[in-house]
Amino acid sequence: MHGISETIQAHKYPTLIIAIGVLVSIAFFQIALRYDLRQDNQKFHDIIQQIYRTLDAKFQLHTEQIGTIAFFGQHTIPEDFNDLLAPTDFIRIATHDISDPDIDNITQYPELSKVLATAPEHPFIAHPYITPNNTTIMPVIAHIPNSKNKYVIGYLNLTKILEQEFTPYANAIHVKINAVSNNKSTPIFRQITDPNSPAYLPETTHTSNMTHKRTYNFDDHSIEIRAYNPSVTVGVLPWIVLLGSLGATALVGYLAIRISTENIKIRRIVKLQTHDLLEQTKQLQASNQDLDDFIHIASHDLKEPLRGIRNYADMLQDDPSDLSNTLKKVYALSTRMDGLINALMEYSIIAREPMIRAPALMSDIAREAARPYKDKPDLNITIHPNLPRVECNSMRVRQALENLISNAIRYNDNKIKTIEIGCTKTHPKHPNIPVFFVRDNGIGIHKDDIETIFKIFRRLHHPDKYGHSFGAGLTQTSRIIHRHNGNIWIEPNEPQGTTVYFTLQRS
Amino acid sequence: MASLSSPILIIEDSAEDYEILTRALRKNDLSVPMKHCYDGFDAIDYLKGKGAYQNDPECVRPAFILLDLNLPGMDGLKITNYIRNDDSLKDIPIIAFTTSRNPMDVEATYKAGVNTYLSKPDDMEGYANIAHILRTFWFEHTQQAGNAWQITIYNHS
Repeated sequence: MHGISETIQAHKYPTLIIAIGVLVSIAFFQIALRYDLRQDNQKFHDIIQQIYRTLDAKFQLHTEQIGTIAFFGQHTIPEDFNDLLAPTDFIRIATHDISDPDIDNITQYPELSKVLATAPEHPFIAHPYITPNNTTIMPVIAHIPNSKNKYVIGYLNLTKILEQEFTPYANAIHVKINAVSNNKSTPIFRQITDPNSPAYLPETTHTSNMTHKRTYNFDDHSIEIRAYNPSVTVGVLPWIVLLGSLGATALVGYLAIRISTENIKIRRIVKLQTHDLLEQTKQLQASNQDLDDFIHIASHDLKEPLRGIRNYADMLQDDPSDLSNTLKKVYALSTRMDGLINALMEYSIIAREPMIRAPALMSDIAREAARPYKDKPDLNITIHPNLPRVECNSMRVRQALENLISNAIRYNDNKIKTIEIGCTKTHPKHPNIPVFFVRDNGIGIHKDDIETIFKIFRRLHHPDKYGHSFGAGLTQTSRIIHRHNGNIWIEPNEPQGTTVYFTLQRS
Repeated sequence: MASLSSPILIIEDSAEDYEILTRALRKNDLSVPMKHCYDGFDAIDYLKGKGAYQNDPECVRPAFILLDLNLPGMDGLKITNYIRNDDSLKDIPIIAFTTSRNPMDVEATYKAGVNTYLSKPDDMEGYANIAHILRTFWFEHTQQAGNAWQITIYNHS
């Protein structure tokens, strides 16, 4: 099936469907992801708000506590920080004399009451201070009015405060807490620094927007809390959505491809069948044309002697004097007609009979066909030895060869007529199909006449020239070859003669 | 131009057909000169005065040609084409004379340039008709040369 040049565009439509499906799936996934994260963040947000409420209260509480207590004296950071790690988050200190046994009982000091009365409403919490054992403390400083002195009245144990609040939520919240002063931030708290602790989480490097920032402003600095949501994990929902929509896409895509493939298959089949049909129609038309031509020629040629017979009979009626001569002609014409009818019948039999084939050696068939001319002195028939074995109806092939040999002898003016029967391996298109030939040194044929001589009862010469014939031999031969699915063609030789080539199998 | 003894050139491969035709024409008192060629090559040799007809004094340009279409080798259409494409021959009238009644054949011959088309008759009555037509045609084409009254009618055979 050659000649189908139109390319069929494959899978354009399904590809589009799948592409759209994938895009839609991604969009669904995004939506589901956002929804899922919002759920996560809501939890995070709730917890952090709760922590802030506590923290707000604590800072408030402490400032209030501080506000009711005051100490005298210049601040010095105590040498022994272990003292600062009291169970409470606020450590009061007596700045002027830390070793005073009565320090706790601040109300004993009448002067304190005086200070309190004149002290500012809110003492301020100084810049945090990180002790060598990694505890962050924030001095609480009070100003005494009309004095340049500042007095540390205690410390807030920031580490403790923050630990108390954040450690229970170590899995839910990660924090970075910096003290910011003069645009300089110092980390002051790291949640659970012991890697062996079950609640330990490595410091996150979150950069996502799932953070919460809170700043506590004090007089000359601020504490900045950044809380991260470490459990920003994508839940199952987005994945289900993604898989579901991808699955649906795959299904739709598969169906589309199936439909499209079916379509293409059907179109291809339709095209092939149409092509076949056209081909068959063409062949039918050609064979109809052949039949038409054949009937036309045959009836025309059959009619010719019949008309002659009638005319002679007519003449005889008019003038019976030339009886014997006229009857001779009528006899000759009826013989000719008989010959024509026999040739037609033979042709018809060859066209219709079952072509039963058997393997046969071409050399044998050729020898049989040439046997009648064996001992003719003016004839030189060469048959190539070892001609290949072919599947054929050897009786009909012999008949074809007889016709070709007879033609080669008939249309030949030479004193010594040479005929060569052989096989060439040079089939123009199929090198493994043997091409047989019958070559003569005869009168040759003009290219324009080649088509004519295959037509039944067509001759190129007047019977006076090359003897009487019906012009059916080559038609018969060609029909035999075609019944073997072979081809027959004729080429003129250089400088003289003709070569008839034929094959005996489909090419 | 057709001269006194301008013959009818009959191109016919069948000897029987030719004999019947001449006998029928003679029987119908048409005794114009006739030249018989049995195929196209012979006819062209005659028309061009070549081959066997070189230096033949009886090789005279015909008044018209009666042409059988079904001829071996060069068929009637090819002969017509040849004559119509030859400057020295293209004026010669051609009558196609054939068994074929196939309309396609008729059309093809007219296209090739034959002047008229006659079917070969099946009986003597038909030949009487043909004889009449040919006689008229022959006189017409010889009269054109202005020699109608001086024609010597003789029996060609």
